[in-house]
Amino acid sequence: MALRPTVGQQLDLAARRSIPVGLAVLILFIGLLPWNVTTLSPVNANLVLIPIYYWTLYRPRLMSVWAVAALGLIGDLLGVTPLFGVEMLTALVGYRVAVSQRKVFAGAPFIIVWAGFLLMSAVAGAVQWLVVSIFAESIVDPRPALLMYLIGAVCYPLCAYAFAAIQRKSLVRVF
Amino acid sequence: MKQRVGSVSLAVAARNWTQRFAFVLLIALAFGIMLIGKADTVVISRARTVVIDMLAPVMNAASRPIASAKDVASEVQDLIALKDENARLQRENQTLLEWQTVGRELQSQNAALRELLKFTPDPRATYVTASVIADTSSSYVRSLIVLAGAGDGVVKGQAAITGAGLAGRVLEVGQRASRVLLLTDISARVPVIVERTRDQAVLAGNNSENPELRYLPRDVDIKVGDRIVTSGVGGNFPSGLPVGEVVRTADGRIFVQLYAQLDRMEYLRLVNYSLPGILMQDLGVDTSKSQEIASPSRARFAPGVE
Repeated sequence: MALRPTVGQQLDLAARRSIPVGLAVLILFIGLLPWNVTTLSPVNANLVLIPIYYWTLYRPRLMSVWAVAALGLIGDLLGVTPLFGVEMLTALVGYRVAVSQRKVFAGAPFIIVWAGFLLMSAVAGAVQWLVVSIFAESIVDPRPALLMYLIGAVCYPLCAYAFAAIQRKSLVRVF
Repeated sequence: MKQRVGSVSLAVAARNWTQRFAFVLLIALAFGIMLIGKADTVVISRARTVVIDMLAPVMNAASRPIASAKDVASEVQDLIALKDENARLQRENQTLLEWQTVGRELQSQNAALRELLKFTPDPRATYVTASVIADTSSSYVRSLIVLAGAGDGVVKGQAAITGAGLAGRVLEVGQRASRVLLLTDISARVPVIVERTRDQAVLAGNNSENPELRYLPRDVDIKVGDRIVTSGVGGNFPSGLPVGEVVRTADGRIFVQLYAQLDRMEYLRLVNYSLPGILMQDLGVDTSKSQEIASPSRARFAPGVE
């Protein structure tokens, strides 16, 4: 007979389940801190795609489509995009790419997973650039977005390493 | 057993369907929000200021350790460069002392001439010094959040300056925090004047480090190193605020290096020149508030240039 979990156990589980989204919010805020390095300042918008991608692959139920939309909306409210709603759309598009390729990338060697992230953030970045350009009614300079993409690509292994450690420590039997 | 497998696959299918439906719904919602944001900026602006206000204390606390770390790093750099710096400062001091003499002479001469002409001086400027608590710049936006809001006397449209020159202007004002749009943002436009030739132009941000001079007369003679200052046209900023200098010209396009070091800003001064400009009046901001400035504990007020 299965034992009913105590309140403490339920709270513990809830806390563990909120780790992926919590980490994503944390990364969003870290990107917003005044690092005061002009060349690195476009870091934030792309970094939030890292936790979205990672947890969609390894703990898809803890990174739901609603959570992704909420993350994008927080980014929009903090003003990282020129147009309200663009970051939400970017996050959702990235999420969709990750979900569609989940079976290919989950369990694949790290280098393939990394390539998957490059694909996902490229699609998300391209969509963002396109939407910004359409609403600005002109071709917006894509170079900053390209820089942002490269920074995200470099940051992915570091973040993935940290996430994997957290996953092993706190989310072994939490799905 | 078969029945159970069937019900499980049905549950999975139902879940997938719900997820897909939610995805389509949320994408539609994102586009809807964009359209609303495009049509009605007031609602979005309010929502953003509310969020910034709520997060201001957290961001302020989080940005302190970074500021301290940067201070330590810059102190180490300073120590290394101490000798050269000292020599440079002595030379500079010599030059400045000479300028001081010239300045005093000009000041007394100016006072005498003003007396002769019955000249009305410009309104006194007041300013709020605010610390930078977040850098909300991304690929398509260049902006900062500072810890001073309507409660401290900040008003939309005020100039944000560093010791070196103009950095941007106040875009959104919350109760405790405000957003500053930097001169490098693609939507930033400032009326300027080339100091040497007195040619008027508009300094247009382009999301790169060097904004561009636009709408200059065709046969203009601009050289690298020419100083660019605000022209005061439009009434948002006073004339003569230092902005930057021409750093390069390419294919008829002229780029400006700003005096304000946008990558090293810990504090910004938000200056109120009490000029009735267009920016203060749009979005329904009450311009009369700009006159009533209280003196909060964390912000410093002082009279500026007369």
